Amino acid sequence: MAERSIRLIANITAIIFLLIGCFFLTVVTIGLFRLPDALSRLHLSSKCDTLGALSIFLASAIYAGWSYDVLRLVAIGFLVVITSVTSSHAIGRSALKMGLRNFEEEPPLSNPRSGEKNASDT
Amino acid sequence: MNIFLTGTAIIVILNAFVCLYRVIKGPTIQDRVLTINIVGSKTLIILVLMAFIFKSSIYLDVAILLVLLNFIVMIVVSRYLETYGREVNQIDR
Repeated sequence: MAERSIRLIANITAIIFLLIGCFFLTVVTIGLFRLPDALSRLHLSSKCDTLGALSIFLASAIYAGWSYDVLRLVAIGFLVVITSVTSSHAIGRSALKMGLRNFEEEPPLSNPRSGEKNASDT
Repeated sequence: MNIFLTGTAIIVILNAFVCLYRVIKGPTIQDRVLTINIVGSKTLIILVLMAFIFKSSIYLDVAILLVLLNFIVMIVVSRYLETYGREVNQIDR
């Protein structure tokens, strides 16, 4: 009886973590469409992708129970935490070396608040 | 419980296919490389879920190799773009 209730609680916790992981992976997909620049997309992927992957690994580890699969999952999670952030940093550094500019540094065509026209408009 | 794992895997696969839009239409080459990184990470998640759907832990060993392969690809491509990036960008435009 006690074992069955523990199994039920573990399954419900695993389902909650699976839903959290699905939410963050969908946030990554929406952000790839909505964000304006390559550097801001890098900032998105290095955070949300790691968090979604880690919650899904945690859900799988809770579902598996104590076995050797948990050891493998801990190894995969450790590698994901290191490699995802490092590869994002490397891509961002290559963008910097190639002279890719942030979207805020580009001069606007016309300032909508002041109502005056820029020199580039005329 | 099995149906929840399968549903999560299907949602992740759909997300990966929608992400491929940015590979086709990325304005810079960093967008394409970054999206390939994201699709590789989702492939890793699908492999981990498959290990528990089909109840065979050989997929987890494949997943460890996939993490390292994805990392090596990203490091090599970004180091290439650091040295030869300006020529590649001129060809791309």
